[in-house]
Amino acid sequence: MMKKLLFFFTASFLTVAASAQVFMSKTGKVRFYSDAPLEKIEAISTKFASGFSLEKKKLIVKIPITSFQFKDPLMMEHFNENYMESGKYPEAILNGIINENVDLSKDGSFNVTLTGTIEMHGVSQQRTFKGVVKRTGNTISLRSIFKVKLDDHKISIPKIVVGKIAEEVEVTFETELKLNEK
Amino acid sequence: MRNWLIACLGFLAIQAQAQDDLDAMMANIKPEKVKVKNAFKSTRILNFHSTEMVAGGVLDFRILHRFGRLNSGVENLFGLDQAFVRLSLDYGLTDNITVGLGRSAVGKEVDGFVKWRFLQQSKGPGAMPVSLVYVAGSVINTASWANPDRINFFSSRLSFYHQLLISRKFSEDLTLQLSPIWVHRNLVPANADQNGVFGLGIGGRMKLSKRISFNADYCYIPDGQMTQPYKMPLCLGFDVGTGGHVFQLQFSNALGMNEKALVTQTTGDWLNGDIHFGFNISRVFTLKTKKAFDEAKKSSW
Repeated sequence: MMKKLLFFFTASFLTVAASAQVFMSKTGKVRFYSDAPLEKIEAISTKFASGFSLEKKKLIVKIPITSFQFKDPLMMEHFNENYMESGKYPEAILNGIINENVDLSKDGSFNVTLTGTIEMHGVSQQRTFKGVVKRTGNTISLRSIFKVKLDDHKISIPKIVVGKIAEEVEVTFETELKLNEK
Repeated sequence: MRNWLIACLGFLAIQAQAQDDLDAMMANIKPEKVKVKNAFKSTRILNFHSTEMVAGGVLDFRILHRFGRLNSGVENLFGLDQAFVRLSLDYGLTDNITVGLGRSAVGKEVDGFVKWRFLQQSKGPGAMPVSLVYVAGSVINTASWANPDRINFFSSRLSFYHQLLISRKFSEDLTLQLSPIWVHRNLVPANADQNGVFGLGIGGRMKLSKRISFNADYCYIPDGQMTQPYKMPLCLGFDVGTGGHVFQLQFSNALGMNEKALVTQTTGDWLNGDIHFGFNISRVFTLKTKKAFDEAKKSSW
């Protein structure tokens, strides 16, 4: 009887361990680009955390707003102080699940859609993003290009800078996550 | 049967744990230590230095205006007929070292300074509660000698100051600063005057909106250091940020626009209405692209 019990425990452990693989990363590249008639603004963050659960095909990304680097320090200040209010809303959070039934347990590359929420400036939006997910050995890489409307996240552009900041910015997201060995 | 139950419970427990795995792991990521930025909108609270620095590679062109006294009557349009200017250029050698050079009309004084932020407030693990900045400057009076008949030395034109700035941004809206200052004048008006004058500056800012804040700075100067009548400089005003400019609109009993003049030559009395309206305009020019941006742009993960 004891043997049987042990078997069940071990078996359940093993199944769970096999399916609950989590991939993590603390780097990557998020770039946003605001293409307005009077000014082009580009910012890049390479210091943010991502996690992906193979079992649930779930992705979580947390980007500290202050990690965005600009070529002009004044732009960085205005971004943090006037637009994103990073003191009050320190992170942008993306949380979503891949819709397609793709097999990421072995190597392969897939065009997928991911549905979930994106939280920025304290405002959450339900979104679906298109992207590419790729499994190579112990890593999973993700890449997506999407647009974010500033108005959707209650980021207001004062009249005085209209023409300098686009109402919609383009976001390029790339990260490579490694299998988390426990 | 009982064992089955235990096995099932165990299985469920493990399943539940697996459900929360990703969320738990993401929640467990420790926040990194981050610098607390933008404690003040400008590198000056109003009259005195703030712990804010000019960013590395950025040039800050500052135009200061001080008008006459409000109590000088309608004939002088409450002081607006009279105006003194200080023009200056501050440059950020790095994010933590700024050098500046300016000239004020009052006393025809040229002043230069080096400002070094050696600790910056941060939050997260191992956080630093305050920012510490050291400012060292000198002031040269370039006016003609008051007594041309006696032997005058060039050194008599010089004054120096050293100031330590200690600030803490308590919240997004409130920053307070303590700033002890020591001013040394090579030439003093009277024998009984001390060459060195110590003062304790206090100041702060309170944000009223994203772009406007109320600021105040004051310097307490203990008795017995100067024989001439003097008052402690108090300044109240507002910061208004508009893109590349910061405007500071202020009311002060001081006319001086450098540390030596502020600490040793302030004579106006607030209660008497000896108040000067003034404004500071700061316009920044970015001369160099930020290194961190170039690095981020080049990097792939």
